[in-house]
Amino acid sequence: MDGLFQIFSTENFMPHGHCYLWFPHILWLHIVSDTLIAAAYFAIPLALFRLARQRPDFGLNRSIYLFVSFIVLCGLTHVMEIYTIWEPVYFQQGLLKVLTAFVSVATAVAVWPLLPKLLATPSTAQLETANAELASAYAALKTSEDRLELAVNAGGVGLWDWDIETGEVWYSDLWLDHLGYKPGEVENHYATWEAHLLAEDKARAIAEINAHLETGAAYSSQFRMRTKSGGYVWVEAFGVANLDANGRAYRMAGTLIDITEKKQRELEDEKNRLFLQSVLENVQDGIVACNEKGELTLFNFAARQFHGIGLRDIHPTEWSFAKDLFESDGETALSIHRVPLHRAMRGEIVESQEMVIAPDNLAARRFVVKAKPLINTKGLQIGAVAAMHEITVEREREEALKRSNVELEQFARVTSHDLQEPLRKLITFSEFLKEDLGDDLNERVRSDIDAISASAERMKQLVSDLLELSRLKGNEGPPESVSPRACIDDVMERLSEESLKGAQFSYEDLPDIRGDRTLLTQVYQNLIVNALKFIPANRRPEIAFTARMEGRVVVLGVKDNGIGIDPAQRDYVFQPLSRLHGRDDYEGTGIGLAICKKAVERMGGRIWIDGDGNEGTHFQFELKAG
Amino acid sequence: MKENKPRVLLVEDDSADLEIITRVMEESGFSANIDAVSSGAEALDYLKRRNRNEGPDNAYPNLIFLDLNLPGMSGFEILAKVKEEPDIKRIPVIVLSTSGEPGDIDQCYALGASSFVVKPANIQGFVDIMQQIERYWFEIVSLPAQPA
Repeated sequence: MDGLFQIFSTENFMPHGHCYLWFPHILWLHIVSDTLIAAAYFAIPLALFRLARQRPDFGLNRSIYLFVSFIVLCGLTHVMEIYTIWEPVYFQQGLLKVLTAFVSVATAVAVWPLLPKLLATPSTAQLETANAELASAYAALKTSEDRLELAVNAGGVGLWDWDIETGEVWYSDLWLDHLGYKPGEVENHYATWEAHLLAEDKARAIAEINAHLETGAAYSSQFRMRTKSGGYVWVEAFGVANLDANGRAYRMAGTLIDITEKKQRELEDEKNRLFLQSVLENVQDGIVACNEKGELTLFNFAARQFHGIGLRDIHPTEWSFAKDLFESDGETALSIHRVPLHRAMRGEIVESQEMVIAPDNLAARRFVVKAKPLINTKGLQIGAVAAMHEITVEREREEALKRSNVELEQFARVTSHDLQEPLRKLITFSEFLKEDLGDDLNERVRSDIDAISASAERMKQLVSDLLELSRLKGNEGPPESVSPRACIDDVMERLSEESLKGAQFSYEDLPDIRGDRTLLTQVYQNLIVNALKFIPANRRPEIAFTARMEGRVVVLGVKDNGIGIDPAQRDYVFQPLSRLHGRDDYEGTGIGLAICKKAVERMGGRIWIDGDGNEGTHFQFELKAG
Repeated sequence: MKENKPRVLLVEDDSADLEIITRVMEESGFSANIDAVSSGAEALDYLKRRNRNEGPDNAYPNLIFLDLNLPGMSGFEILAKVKEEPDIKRIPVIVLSTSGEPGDIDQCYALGASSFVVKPANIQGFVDIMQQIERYWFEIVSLPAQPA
């Protein structure tokens, strides 16, 4: 027992300072070092506790006390080192070391299982890399989400997400905005959607969405929805359902876009299309068109009627009517290359082609057809169009007129012969009579016979002038460029020296006109003859051929220094058989100016008289410039 | 003397015209044997008889004066028929017409007429024309010989 007590006794030991021979520098060296080590050991547990508290993920909670004990004990061994310098409690110091040793070994053992966990904890560098990756992934996600949001917003795409089991629906802000609502103003429920459907579209819209849920057919539906303000919008919805393991839809999400404008445009387009169609259907002319492949795409009502189809709506493939078409003679079948639409398909512009349409069991009808290739803005031919204008009536009228003209001409010829024949004989036999009476002829008888001759002569002239007026016509060709000077020269050549009475002619610059040379010559012929005829006997005729341009019109004229025409009589003189002067004063049948008027009017112009009635006459007439 | 006189066939139905033409020919000094017929049928018959050379005084006429306005067969038809007969078609035909209808003139020349004359109303004019005709056809130009 004593021995055991002796262990705790310090009696037999010397303080550790003796080992240092109490040399102060050795003493201080040990004291300061151990103090610092102990202080450091005691400080570490504080840091450890903080770490454990703030990073529970390290899993230090239980082992922390072991670590702390280990470190505190290590610290205490150093404190004991300092104490033993003065007090030789070496046994207690040994006990302390034993305790420290146990705890140290326990800690060393405990640290191994912790090692993988601690190793798994990323290092700072790893963490930084991971962070950077995370940041960039997040940025990419954000960009993509922004993009989606931007697209969804810019496209005006409203989104919806429907939990079919609960009936709850998430409506995006834009979805609500389409109906004029702000977030929170309507209930997030399927009923909200149904409640806003326009009555006319409701059944159909619901049926369409149900069809998708039942059959899985693609969901796309157009319907009208009432807005907050009481109006409505046209919307188009797309969506797709998620199915559970049993194939039952439990969720459906999709989009909703406002198509009101598009719908209005469609309605507008449809209205325009119907309007155009109605115009085409109601127009009197037949209109036929084909596409670039030559397939007929338009055959309006009039065209169908001409072909005897009327209201029957027939398929384009049956549009083959070439068999009904005939040349203008009404007998020769129109060969396919002569069909106006075919000609236009070959790039030709058909200005005017006369043809006859004679379907079975229908009277033949006559048409003037115009046709043109259809060229798009890029200059490519996309088809052809032909318009048929009926001229059956006009042509019949024309032919009747032609027949009546022929009859009139025949009449004129017969008249010209039959009326003049007796007159000629009257004149001839009057002269025979004079010859036969010979010397027995007294003055009175001679004058009587002369009167008979003169009357017959005048009547003969009258008949001949009237026939000229009735037969007046040009070359009957299209108007051509005519030189007035050439016409005047023709007239001059025919006039005798005697009839010219030494007249003086002056010419202005005479521009060409558009008309008929024969007719213009007639005009100058009569005006020149008049100018030479209606002049006092003692005056020398002066005739001026005048001309001036008035835009696209040429005003020609013949000005004389004759007896003039009273302004009050100026319309009258253009009537046939109108005479202003007695026969004894001036010769004439009164038909010359009527011929001038008719000839000018035939060329589409007009004639009138200028001048004051005293200083000669200025006949003027206007014609199109050549 | 009689042999030297030209023979003229006058196709004219109107007695007044016949008188005028014969008188004008007389006044113009146009001395000829005038055979007058008043229709196309007669004219063709006359010419065919010449063709068969029947009778002593059956020489072909040297010239034919043809009126257009005739009963039955028109002057145009007569002209056409005359110009179809090989032995007759060489005889010059002078159309005497009252009217100078351009269509008539064209048609007559197309059918083979040698001249187209519009009968003037005054005698002197007609006499002048007859003198010209005689001078032209019987002095200036050479006419075909009588066929054998």
